[in-house]
Amino acid sequence: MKKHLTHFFVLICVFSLCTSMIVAVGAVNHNINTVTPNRASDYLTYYDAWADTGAKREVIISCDVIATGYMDLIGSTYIVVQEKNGSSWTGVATYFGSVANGLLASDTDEHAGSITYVGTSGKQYRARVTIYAEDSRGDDSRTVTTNTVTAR
Amino acid sequence: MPENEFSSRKNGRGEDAAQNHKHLDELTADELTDALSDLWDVMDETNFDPTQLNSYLAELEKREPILSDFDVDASLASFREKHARLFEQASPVQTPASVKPIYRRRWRTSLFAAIIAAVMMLCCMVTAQALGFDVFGAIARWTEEAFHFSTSIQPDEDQQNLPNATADGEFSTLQEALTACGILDPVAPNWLPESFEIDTVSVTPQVGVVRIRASYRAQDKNLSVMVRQYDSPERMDSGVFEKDSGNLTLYEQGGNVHYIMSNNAQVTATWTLGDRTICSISGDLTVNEMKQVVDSIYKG
Repeated sequence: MKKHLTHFFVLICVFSLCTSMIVAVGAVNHNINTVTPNRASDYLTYYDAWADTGAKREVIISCDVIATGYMDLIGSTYIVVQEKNGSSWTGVATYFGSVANGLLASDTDEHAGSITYVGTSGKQYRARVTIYAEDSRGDDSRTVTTNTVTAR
Repeated sequence: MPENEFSSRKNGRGEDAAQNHKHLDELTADELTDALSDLWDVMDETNFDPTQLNSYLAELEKREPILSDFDVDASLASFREKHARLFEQASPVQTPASVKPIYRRRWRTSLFAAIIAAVMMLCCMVTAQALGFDVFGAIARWTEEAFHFSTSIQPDEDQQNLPNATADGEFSTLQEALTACGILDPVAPNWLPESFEIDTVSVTPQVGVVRIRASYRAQDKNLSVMVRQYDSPERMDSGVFEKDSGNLTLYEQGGNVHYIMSNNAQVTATWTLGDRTICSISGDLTVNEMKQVVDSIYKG
């Protein structure tokens, strides 16, 4: 019986190794074409995004970006406000950045913007913020998660 | 296999044992004693065989009988009386031969399961790494890609005030903007590589932070000095400086440690003032030029 059990475990082990290697090699090959190995940026120098509370029920999501030089567009292209329900986070609002709504700015090397979401008192909120910079050579972006705040 | 080894020993204790002991008749008392000693040495909890030992002892008894006046029962009774507490507390005795193998088997099974779990976890980690999740070097790689300050200081409710900024707008010099914001520590460089000229100096209050920024230009080169005054220490944690995998240099000057790092073609030096202000200089400079710029801050 034990002999069979040992053989069974060895088989599982060998199977896991083989499948892992196959998937790993596939994934590495895939990543060679899709992932930049070094995350240093030719466009971004510094970025920050955070959540704060404003007046009653208000949640303010802010971002601050400094570029390596003058950019055609700089700021935040995408903000998803998330609300905590139990132990999971659910997206409750999405904001697309534009020069008009102040999340993006043009022809500058730094920008700060913010949005205000009206939530529910006592609920916890945070946001996923995509930082962006673009010039004639190309663009770069980073997505960060802010701190968590509780709406007043 | 351990299983087979154990089984064969067990089988050896059966009816064949009597035949195995025939040769004992030919041994002298001393040889028997030696053989008994050898047998005792090779026995352990897995192959302990009382039948074999008894046959050796019986042969010895034949050759050199124990004195007839020795009363075994009385001796046993005396021993039991002397250690009565031990016998009262003892639960039904299990022979080592029946307990140890089970224990060992369990231990081996646990070890085997642990090895399999470790191998499978390693496989999963390799897969996750290949899929882009930085499992093996999450901390090390992270430091190769980005830099940020982290503070363990807990926010004091009473001190969560807005920074000292009373200013807002454009200024003609960085020092003027810093003074307007109540920053008296030296921050503004007194020397920059020759071609750099001041472009803009601005102070912008934002929720939870005051942003002070001076930018300089030199043909196709950029340089900027950034100061962020936060309303609480933990706010400093979220700001991220991009960096490449090059070495990070710790450069001490004016009582502050300046972290100098490269971000592809640019170099950044950053440091903190107190527990809620971050300063940085970034631009198209070499590390040596950056050190000179930092030196100039304190040599006024």
